[in-house]
Amino acid sequence: MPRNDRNGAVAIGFHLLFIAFILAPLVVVVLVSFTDKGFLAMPFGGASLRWWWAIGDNPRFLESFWFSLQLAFVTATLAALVAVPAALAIVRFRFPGREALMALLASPLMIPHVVLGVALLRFFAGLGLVGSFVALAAAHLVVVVPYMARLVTAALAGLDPRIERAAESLGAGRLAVFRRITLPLILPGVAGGWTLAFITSFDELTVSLFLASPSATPLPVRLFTYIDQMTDPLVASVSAALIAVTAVVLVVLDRFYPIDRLLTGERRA
Amino acid sequence: MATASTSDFLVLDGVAKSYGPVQAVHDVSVRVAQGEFLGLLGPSGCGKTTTLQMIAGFEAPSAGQILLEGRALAGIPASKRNIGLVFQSYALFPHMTVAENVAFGLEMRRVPKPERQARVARALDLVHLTHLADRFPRQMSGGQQQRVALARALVIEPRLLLLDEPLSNLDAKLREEMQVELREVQRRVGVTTILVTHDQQEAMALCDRVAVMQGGRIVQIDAPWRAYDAPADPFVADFLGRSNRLLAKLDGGAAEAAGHRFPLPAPLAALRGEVALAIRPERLRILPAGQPGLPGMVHSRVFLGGFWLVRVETPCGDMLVTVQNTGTPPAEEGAAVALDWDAHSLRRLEAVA
Amino acid sequence: MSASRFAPAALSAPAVLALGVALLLPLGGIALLSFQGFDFDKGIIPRWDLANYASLATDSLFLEALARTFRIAVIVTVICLAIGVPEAWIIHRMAPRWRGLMLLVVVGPLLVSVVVRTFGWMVLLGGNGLINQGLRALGVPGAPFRMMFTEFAIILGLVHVMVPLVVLAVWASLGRLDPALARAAESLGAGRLTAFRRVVLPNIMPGILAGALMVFCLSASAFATPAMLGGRRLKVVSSMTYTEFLNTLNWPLGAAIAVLLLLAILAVTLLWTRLVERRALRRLGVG
Repeated sequence: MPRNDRNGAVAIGFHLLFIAFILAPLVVVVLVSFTDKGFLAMPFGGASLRWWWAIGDNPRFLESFWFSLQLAFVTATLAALVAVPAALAIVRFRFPGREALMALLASPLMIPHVVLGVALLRFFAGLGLVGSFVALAAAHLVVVVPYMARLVTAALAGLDPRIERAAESLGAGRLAVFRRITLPLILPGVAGGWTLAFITSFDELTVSLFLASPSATPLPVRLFTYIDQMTDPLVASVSAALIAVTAVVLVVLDRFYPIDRLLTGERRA
Repeated sequence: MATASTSDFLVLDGVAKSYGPVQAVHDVSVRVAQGEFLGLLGPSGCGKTTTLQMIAGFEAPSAGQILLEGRALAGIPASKRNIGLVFQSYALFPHMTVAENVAFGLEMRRVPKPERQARVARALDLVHLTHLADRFPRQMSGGQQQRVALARALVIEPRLLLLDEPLSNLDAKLREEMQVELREVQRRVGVTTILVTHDQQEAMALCDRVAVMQGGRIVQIDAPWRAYDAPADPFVADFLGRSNRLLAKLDGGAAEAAGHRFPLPAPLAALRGEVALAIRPERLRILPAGQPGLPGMVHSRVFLGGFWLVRVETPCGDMLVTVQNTGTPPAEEGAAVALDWDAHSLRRLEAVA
Repeated sequence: MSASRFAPAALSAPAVLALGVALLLPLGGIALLSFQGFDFDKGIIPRWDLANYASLATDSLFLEALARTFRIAVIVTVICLAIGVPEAWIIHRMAPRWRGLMLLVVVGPLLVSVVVRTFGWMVLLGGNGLINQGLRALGVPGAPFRMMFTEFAIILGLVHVMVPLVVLAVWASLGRLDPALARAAESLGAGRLTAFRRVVLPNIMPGILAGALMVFCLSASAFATPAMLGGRRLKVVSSMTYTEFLNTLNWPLGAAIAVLLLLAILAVTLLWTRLVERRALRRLGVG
């Protein structure tokens, strides 16, 4: 690459400021989590792990953590079961209503989460299901389906249909073609979509706020309501733990599914 | 085979295909003999691939029927037709090794494992790929992938082998090698084969007969050398190799063009009036100026190894001449020359454009 | 061939069923609810009129929140474009081994919960927060400044949440761009800035415009960041809806606010794609 394709000093300076801006709040949270004070302070005056141990003494956070894990797992799996067949219909067939189906699958992206939250609150209140796992899973399913559908559709569109035809000409029926050829080849897309759906569900706050109950409180809701009442370094240590988990997931994920492709649904960067 | 004679192994009877208002294939009728190698040749959009897809079972004809061994194929899904297919893109399964690719069709037929392995080994041996059985497609060259695709289609012992532009992704030298190999394998296996291609050279090299298609119709179907020698119309003349057009006045037995009088072959002797004649570049001879012949001037000459391609400007338009390379270059650019030919090399083009 | 006629219906059935029940029905329900009445003693009154909308039209608190919501969304969008587009271009021009890492750093925070990210800004912006501590240590006159519970804080927090989306959208369209284009322009005598402005920018414009729309809609409908950094007094439309539903319990009024928010977002999306994006695409000879 010729030299004049490189960034100049001004560009590098801008980039460093940008990175500092992006990382500042995350770094600060991690630092504060190591303070030995009883209030939000940097650990330079005295560091300890007391607020990390405090997470263990606070069963509410652990409960919510497990609850969120289960919720995210169920949500992402349901999303795959719903989105994979729909993506197959969209990519492999031309039929009346195809455009409408595409719009329907993408529509939750355009709906403000507060609106979705109140709509589902009203709906599940009528069914007596507010505060149930079922209501939260259904709500999260709606939120994550667009991401899943986008990635699976991209994976299918990138698959040469002649490969499926070749399998058919060799004697494979529709089911065998799907199981032996199509599914293995779109698996990276499905796995990427599943992971993105999992993370999105795990992080979801706004819709959950409307549907949560004391016995069914996802972690972001627990954290939000806790911060609403008090801000002590426990919030920082819980947040730092979440940042750490996300960072690990991110680095592992990036190995097999580049993050820009995951988030944009593009096949190649 | 009891129900159909070997010359009617595959029959396309008035097959047509339309997509809404677009008519992709019009009324195509062909009879293919058992063991024959037939080429469907034509430019892109001529309907040849659609015809192939209908035989394979991926498109349903809008009209007409297709019979294989005397039985109509309509309603039989592609997976039950037992027709081998090789794609231009090879369409190898990227997540399977070479051996797994080749074994796939046998697995679908629930062939027991020991027999499966033996047949895969034989198929790979046929295409000289035994040593690459455990490779994945992406680790192989285009030519190797193409042979895997061929082995995969042949191992199921198909009733019919369909080749969709199988060699057009290969470079020129490899393409020629693969042509020889493909022809050899087809002969050895004896499978009835249909090749779809836009490459006239490929069709002529491989096929027993070629069906030249244009605008969704078959315009001529014949042995390659016969179609080349006696093209049915200007399109075929142009599409099968190069051809020169010569507009001449015929007056019974002889013809005149730009003041040059020349004799006509017997089949054309009865014709009179303005007629378009065709003559192949290799049938023209370049003589020094002043000799009897059509006068002209060398416009350009291009060296192509085995021969020279010379463009000669004449009063009847530019003529292409191929001259065998004998070690001495032909007439220089700008030189005055005369063109001569044997009367029996002249063909009449049906339509005057 | 009959199988293929029913296959699309069978394949799309789960999605249509799931989204029909958990999305379309509830949205229809909330729209109906917005026409009903409310009494603090009797709860929801089965009445059908536009009273909720009429009262919102004259409710100064709501109108103030509405104006604030769209003001903030516009400012956030402009800032995100101003810093996100150059950042994407800079990352795009980096050596490959840096490119992946930097993209990970910039885009990765998208996968961290908004609550956590916004909490970081609470720590930084508080009256006794790190920024004010730093300013006081430097002896800046007037410090500490009041930053929490201001529109400034909301905007800062939202820019932080949204800007990776712009980088990502622009990055994706840069990836589709033929790298030879900018060089071709430079070989024809265009300077680097001119090459970017005349050749690169028009080609990535669809990505920029799509990113802008996404940021605007998400900012206008954001809840967590305005609620945490704006406090109880600086209401935006989202937090107002939340209050009506979970504190005041006037669901019909809350429903009317939600319906207005949804309609506003849909209208902006429609206008933007019709008027702005289509023009940009037409310049590229698409659509």
